[in-house]
Amino acid sequence: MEERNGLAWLGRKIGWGLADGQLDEWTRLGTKAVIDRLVDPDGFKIPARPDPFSDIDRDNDKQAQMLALGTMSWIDDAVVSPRPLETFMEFFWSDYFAVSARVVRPRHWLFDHMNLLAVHCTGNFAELLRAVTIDPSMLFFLDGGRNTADNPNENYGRELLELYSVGVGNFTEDDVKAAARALTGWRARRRDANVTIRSHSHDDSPQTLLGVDGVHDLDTTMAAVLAHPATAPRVVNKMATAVLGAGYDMDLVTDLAASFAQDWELKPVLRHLLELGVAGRSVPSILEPVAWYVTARKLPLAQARRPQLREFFALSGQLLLHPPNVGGFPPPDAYLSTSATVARFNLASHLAEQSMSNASRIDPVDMTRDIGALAERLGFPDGFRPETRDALSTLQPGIDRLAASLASADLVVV
Amino acid sequence: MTNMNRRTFLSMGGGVAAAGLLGGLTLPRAAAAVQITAQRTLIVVDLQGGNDALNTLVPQSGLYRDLRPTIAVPEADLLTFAGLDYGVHPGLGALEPMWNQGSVTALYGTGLQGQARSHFVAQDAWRTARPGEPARSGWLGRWLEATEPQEPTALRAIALGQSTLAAQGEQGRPVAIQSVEGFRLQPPAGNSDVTAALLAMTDPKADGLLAQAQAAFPATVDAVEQLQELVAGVEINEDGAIDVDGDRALFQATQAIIQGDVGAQVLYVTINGFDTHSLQGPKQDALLQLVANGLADLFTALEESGHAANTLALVVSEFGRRAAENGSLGTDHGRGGLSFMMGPPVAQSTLIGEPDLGDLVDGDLQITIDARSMYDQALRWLGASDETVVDVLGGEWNDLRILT
Repeated sequence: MEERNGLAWLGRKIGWGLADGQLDEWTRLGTKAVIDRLVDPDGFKIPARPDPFSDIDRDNDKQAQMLALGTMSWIDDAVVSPRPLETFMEFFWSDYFAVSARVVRPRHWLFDHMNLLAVHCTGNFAELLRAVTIDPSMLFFLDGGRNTADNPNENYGRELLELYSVGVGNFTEDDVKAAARALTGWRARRRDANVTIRSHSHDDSPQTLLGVDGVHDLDTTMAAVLAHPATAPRVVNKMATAVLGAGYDMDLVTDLAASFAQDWELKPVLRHLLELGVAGRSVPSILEPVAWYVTARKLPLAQARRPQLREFFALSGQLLLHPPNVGGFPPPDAYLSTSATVARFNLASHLAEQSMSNASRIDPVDMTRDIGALAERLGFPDGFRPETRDALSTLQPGIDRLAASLASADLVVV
Repeated sequence: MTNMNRRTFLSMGGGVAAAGLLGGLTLPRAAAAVQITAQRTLIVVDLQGGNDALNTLVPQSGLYRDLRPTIAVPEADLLTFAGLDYGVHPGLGALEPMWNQGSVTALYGTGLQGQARSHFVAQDAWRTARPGEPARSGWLGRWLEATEPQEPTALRAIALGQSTLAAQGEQGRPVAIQSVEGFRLQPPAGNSDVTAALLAMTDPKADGLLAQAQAAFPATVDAVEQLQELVAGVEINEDGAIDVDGDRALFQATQAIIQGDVGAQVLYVTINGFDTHSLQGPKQDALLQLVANGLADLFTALEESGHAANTLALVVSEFGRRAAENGSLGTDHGRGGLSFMMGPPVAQSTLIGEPDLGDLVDGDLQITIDARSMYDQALRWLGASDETVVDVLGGEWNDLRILT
């Protein structure tokens, strides 16, 4: 039973909800086999998620609409993703390396950005960091494309140090300048997003970055930030916070950071974090709006209408590819705000109503008649909390009971 | 409590109207004093990303045009405000009537000592007022908690645009309205009891995050109930006026909330987009115009409804930008910034502090005015005692005289 609870946590937290029958299947497999499959789906021949943007017409005259279609497609695919840990990590990196659709042009480069993150999401951090540094969206968003020998632009160099590697307190203003200089000259061609370095606008003079001399280009910049002792613990801490929740016991990951710094492989880190979580070492955190929506959709509900869905993400403040600033979305507990609470309530109601329509695959009355079964289906093998169960029992099975369970605090805290 | 009763209750708790409503009841002196100040509303407008101070109020120094050969605001475009020795960015034109009324104090060189060029370090310093400390609460949040009335109102503090650490207390968080559209609860059609069921789900033994998650729904119902009427009337983009990401509606919502007399004491409006590393000109033009027009329209409306005298606006940004342009037609992160205190409570239109382009620190304007000096003024205006100011700001910062 304890194992089943740990796996239910894994489904709710990392899987963004459980598909029909999934908890039973996972219980049969056992924790180790489940984590093996999540971390290394290739090894089990689990099919890769298809490119969520392949059907989007990138030449659509209405570019904002094109972007909206793309982000909704990404989320729809997340609902049925056969590789939920990769989806989780793709989203994680999209927040870690936040770029904004308010800025990046052309907008469809953002699809390539997401696909780039997908390729590396559970791979190797050193390769990921290098790839993102010269990713067209990132070159546009943090002005790397305007960073030239004659006119260095510090925007990317600063965030490389502050947000993507060593973190605040571990670099100086001279390091920012050095990183900016070493990365001068990169440019993405607007026509085809072809990325090249133009030698005439690259400053190849040796810089001292984080105490490393002779830094002069992309590779030596990467080597310098990765060699710094603060980078690995910082990245591991970010990942551990996402998996285990803010305030987890940091002593648990000290050794992990040390081994991560040897090879930058993400899979061993993820495996260890998932094991800790299943063993009950996570601390409560708030299910963010994207994750909450996918969780709800894993019930066999009808689709939400597009306007309601868009309003949900806008009102809750977590519209994919629209972070409020370069630091990405706020920490999860920001989504206890009144706005996000309104957004969850309204979309829960809408989804429940929609599921009564003919398009739905299941009758919500059947799905909610047995409150214990509904709880199990949502990832609570021991049932909802008593107050939640009692309140749900005052409602008629069907739309109301479904809406209230989706909007409950039980579902939001994981 | 019905809506009507709630309103009556709020206006009783909220201010001088209490005396009239309560008839012969005499309030203790201290309580009466608190209630009078409780009617005041502080609006903070946070220009997130770091507004470029030097192109907002342009110094006459020739160094300015040397430092900014391509992005200097053209001489011919600059506005002149009476008695101000600085060129005013054309986007701020809407503020001229308030300037002429003596209601705008600009402060040049604002910041907190030790703040870094990082957005996040600087924002945290400004919002917590505890630079260098990992504070989990904001300066307004601590004041709100220190002065929590016995009967709390859901709408004492409202964050518009996004939630903010500044108004977050050690325990509580302000109401946050992401956007004005859609801020209403829409239960399933028909005679739905979903709202009542969710209200009944509270477990009194819950603690920590679960307790906060459970408390979120009742607090939201309360806030929405009161705000629904107010913001429902806000028309968005009706006249095609400048609007960045729908932010114009935030000023209109601010107006509706103040005019609604719902006991709002702190309104924190966040406007994004000021991080202008490249192609700064058109971006900053649009944003400054948005903010200036928003504030000018707001105070005009509050003047008409009789609320302006009790309203103070504080415009802040986490840093000014680098004095020299960066070659991408933009500017990089800097230090000393530009702030404003605005509204009838301001004693006179003036500029405090001078940017010295001949004495830069690492290419940045120096920080010469601690942000806490403005906070000290604002908190006292809200009714904070010496003791509360010291608690909230970690000391007295009583060196400015900006307000009447």
